[in-house]
Amino acid sequence: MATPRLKNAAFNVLGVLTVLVADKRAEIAVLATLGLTPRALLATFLSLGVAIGSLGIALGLAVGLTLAFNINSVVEQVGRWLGHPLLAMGGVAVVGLPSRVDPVQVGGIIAMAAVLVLAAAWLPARRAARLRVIEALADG
Amino acid sequence: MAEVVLRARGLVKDYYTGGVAQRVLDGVNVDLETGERVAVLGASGSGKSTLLHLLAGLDRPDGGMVELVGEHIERMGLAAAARLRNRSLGFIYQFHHLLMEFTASENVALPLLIGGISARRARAEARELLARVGLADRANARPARLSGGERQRVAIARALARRPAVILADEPTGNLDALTGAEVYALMLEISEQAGTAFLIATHDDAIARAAGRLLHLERGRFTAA
Repeated sequence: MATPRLKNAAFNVLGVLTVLVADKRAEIAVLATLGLTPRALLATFLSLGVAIGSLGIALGLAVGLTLAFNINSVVEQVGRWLGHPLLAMGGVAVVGLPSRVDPVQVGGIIAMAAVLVLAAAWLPARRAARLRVIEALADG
Repeated sequence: MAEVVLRARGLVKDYYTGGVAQRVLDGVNVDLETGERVAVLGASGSGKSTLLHLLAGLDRPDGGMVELVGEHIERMGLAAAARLRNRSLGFIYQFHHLLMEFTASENVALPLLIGGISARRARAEARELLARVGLADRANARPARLSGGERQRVAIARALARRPAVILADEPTGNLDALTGAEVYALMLEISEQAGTAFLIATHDDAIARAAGRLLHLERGRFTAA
């Protein structure tokens, strides 16, 4: 099931953005004093989260589809590296692993990942938008 | 008759520590006219920075009003106040507060980009402004490669970018040596005179304060006679 991996990806986005917002408090405050609205700040950090998430989704999709389409060659190659065929069980050679790419399932996973990324980016983005400017300037 | 670009009446601000209110500003009035230079002189903790924050709409007063170019900033929501700041207000801080990852020119262009000016025009205007503060040849330098005085000049150029009616300066020379501080301050006064920009300068430096056109003493949250 892909869900735990998607959750990990979402937590990565959440972690990266949370650290970034904490690290850039003074800069965010300066942008607010220069006239950047809370909504623009929210959009900036949401966009960043979406960019990071999209990159992750694209990479995951590329690796996942490559593996799915070539699973038997990959297993065979790994078996060669390890010195014994992975597809031989109890002396019986297995012809190959079944692999079927279902576009609907792939689309569903992409959609779920996109929703999780947006949800993960929302919290730190909102924190940036609600930053207490005076305190952040004083700390910075 | 000169136009009043910044007006505050009866500004009150309380801070709470352990549930106990401490009055930081107690009925402060300010009028700032076009091109006027006013210094607010006061010791640390006298309420200077709080006053600037209220005037800029970065904090809300507990009483009184602030009118910036005829608009009540204290009644505005965060977004409207931010837009008004971008159009009409510049800031110069004690610590330059430049974005360290950006070049001098990019830092100066920021308020223009936030204000919706095209990147091309913003870049061109930023270079002109840097030339005006004597840093034409430092446009591509990042703040880490600039001296303290140069950074403060970049901050002045950034504050001027939107040709604001008012610039608020909080201890603008406080982090510079005496000579550099005097140069930076002279530049601010010169720009104020040329551009007609009003300056409100918060300082605890007596010499800086006396060089301004008008001097206000802030003591325990109130303006007192000099």
